[in-house]
Amino acid sequence: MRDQDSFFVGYLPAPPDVRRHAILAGLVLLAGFVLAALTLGRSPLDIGASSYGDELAITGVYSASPYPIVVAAPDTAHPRGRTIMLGGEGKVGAQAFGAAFDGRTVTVKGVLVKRGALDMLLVGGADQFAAATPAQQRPAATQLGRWRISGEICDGKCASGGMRPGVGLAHRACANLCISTGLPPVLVTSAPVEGSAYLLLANANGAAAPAAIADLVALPVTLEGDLERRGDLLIFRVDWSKARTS
Amino acid sequence: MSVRYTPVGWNANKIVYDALLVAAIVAYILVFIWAAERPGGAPPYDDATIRMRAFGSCAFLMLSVVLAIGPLARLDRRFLPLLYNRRHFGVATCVVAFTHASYVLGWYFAFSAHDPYAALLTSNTSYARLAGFPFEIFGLAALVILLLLAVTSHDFWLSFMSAPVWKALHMSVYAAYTLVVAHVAFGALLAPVLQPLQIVVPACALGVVALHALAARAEPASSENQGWIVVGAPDRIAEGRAIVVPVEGGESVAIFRHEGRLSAIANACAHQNGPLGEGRIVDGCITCPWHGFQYRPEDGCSPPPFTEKVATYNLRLENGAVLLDPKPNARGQRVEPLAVGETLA
Repeated sequence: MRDQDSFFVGYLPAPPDVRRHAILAGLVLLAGFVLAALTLGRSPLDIGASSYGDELAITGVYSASPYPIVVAAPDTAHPRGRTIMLGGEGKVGAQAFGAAFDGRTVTVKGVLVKRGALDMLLVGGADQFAAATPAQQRPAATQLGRWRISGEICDGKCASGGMRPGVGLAHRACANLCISTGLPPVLVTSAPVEGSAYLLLANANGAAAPAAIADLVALPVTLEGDLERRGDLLIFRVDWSKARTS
Repeated sequence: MSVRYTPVGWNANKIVYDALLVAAIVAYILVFIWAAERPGGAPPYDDATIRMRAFGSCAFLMLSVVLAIGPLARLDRRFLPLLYNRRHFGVATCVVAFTHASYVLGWYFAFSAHDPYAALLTSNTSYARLAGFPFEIFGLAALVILLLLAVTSHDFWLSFMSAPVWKALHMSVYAAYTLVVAHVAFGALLAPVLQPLQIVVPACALGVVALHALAARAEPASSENQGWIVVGAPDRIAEGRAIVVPVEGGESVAIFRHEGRLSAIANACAHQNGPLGEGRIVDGCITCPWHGFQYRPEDGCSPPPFTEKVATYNLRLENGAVLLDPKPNARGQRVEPLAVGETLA
């Protein structure tokens, strides 16, 4: 132990050498904090660019199951028909807003949140839904067979840029809260599947995913089930009894 | 020392201490945010998440420093000024940690029909598995402890609870630190890519453990107990200083030399259990190195108007060696100092 002649008593003026050392220690602490902030503030995490706030109105057929989606008629940019998931503003699903329009052609207005190919239209309320003409046919689902797919389950809103990063274990509870309020869960896949980096998740019978999905969110998982395409959206009807974490 | 309670007994040293502390916190938060926002690039975190990470990592670093100050001051007394106002450091740490928690509640657990506090406790209930364990609960428990310690940090509570109870309560800061490390280890450290935090957090935790181990090694070894403890030649004790002798029951005794006479008192200060034996004689009184509380060598009483008292111990000289009776006298009981003559200055 170092022992100096000078002795520090807090309520007395500090001896010069003690004062010097104390100020030096304080400045080293200050510099250390600045250096730590520079180091810890930077993150190598790269989740890609996202956008939030572009207003959009889309016309198409509204489907309530497994989660609210609108499938627009095919066009040049979307030869299969653009399909967009719907969510509410805040942590709330859009189920209640579009309940009267299931299977009907609607125009829905909202704010687009988008990261890469994953996007979602955030709808403020039922007044953002309006019946549209001419009526379009409910698009037929294309069955793509049985698949076993790995990836991370996220909530579709945060993962599409509602929050950044909106993925990972630190965000797990937030994702669970989002999914529990009706926002659609998605599987961000480890590798593209049929050209898509994410899949909307559903129950094996095509209904919404079960509450037990909460135990799998934000973990590396392998899911097995039947894949179908509606418009340009892939929907994965999962046999949840075969879900595995890795 | 003070005979009445004031919110903060300000003095020049405390003002400089707090100014540096606040400067370090503000600098950390501003630089962290600046570095995280990646001017010209696409930051992976949104503003609220950057701020929760900034305040969270700042609180962790501050708590690491708070726990390092004790052993540092024991290993090198020039660090004692850092210890003097450590309570303010602790309270500031609690404020920073609370700000972190506020950002988490106001971002991850807001914007739903659920109460944020209820959502915090119910959104992740995977308690039965390690992967995805609800790490938030560790942080919440640590914050509760830090709040409790901050609220009871004032000398009023120290007096109200008594020093041993207060000290025992405030030792729970180690539990808080363990919980914080678990909070980070089960959360932010499990990021999919290597992050600086994954190196800094274990390094800080290991540093805190290593400093405590080093300080423990510097403690005096236990003496043989044959009724009276053989302390050794009086020359071992320099004028105005003390040596510390451990006695049974985990206690220790400080034997001071003042004007050629030896006096023994309990080593634990009545204020915050500070190590009196690491103090000095100032103006004829034993002076605690932590906050300057003073005691007369011969009876362990603070000089009037102060009222603190510590136990005294009996000494005798036999065959040129100082012997210590390990049985304490009542607090404040006078014991005639043992004359051993002038020696080391």
